[in-house]
Amino acid sequence: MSNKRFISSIVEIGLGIALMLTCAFGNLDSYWSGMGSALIVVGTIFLFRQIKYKRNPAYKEQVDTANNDERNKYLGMKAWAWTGYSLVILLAVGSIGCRIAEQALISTLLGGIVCLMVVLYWLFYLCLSKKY
Amino acid sequence: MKNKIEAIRKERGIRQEDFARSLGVSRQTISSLETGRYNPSIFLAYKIARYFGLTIEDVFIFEDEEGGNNHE
Repeated sequence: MSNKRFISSIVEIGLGIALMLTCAFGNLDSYWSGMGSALIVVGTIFLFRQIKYKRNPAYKEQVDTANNDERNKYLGMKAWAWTGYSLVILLAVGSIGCRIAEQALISTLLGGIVCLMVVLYWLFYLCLSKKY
Repeated sequence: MKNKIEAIRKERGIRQEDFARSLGVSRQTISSLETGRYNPSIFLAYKIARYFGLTIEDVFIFEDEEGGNNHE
């Protein structure tokens, strides 16, 4: 954990409070107040973690081990890969389902997202193959 | 890939927690390595072998895709 995360936590809390106050005075709708409260919660959690990390050596060791553990990194990458595969399949099924249900706009949108994901995959594959 | 980590560790009376801490990995990683559910990177394999004062071939048993042992 770095000072950047500490600063970003404070920025998140500040932004969250700003959004909540703006909504309270009626300039924004409830979507933004929801986002503001989410930012405050996330920022506060990370801020407390940062403080605990700096003050508690046992917790620091636990976090450092978890962050540097190669199996954790492997599991994280695997989980993201499975998430990506699942999402592509779900979107493709959703696109076909919407087409059958005569929801052409949503079907096209979902199909477009699938195409974008495939393009991004090939783009990243190309970049990674040049790097490794 | 099979390995002799558990046997060597127990032979030397080292606890999983202490072994994990020395290598900078979690205890779950050691457990997964010992049960063969996870194969380590070459870096971790080297660190494990060096920790025991052995070579990688002494600790890890490479098996080819047909299942035969090439090195032991």
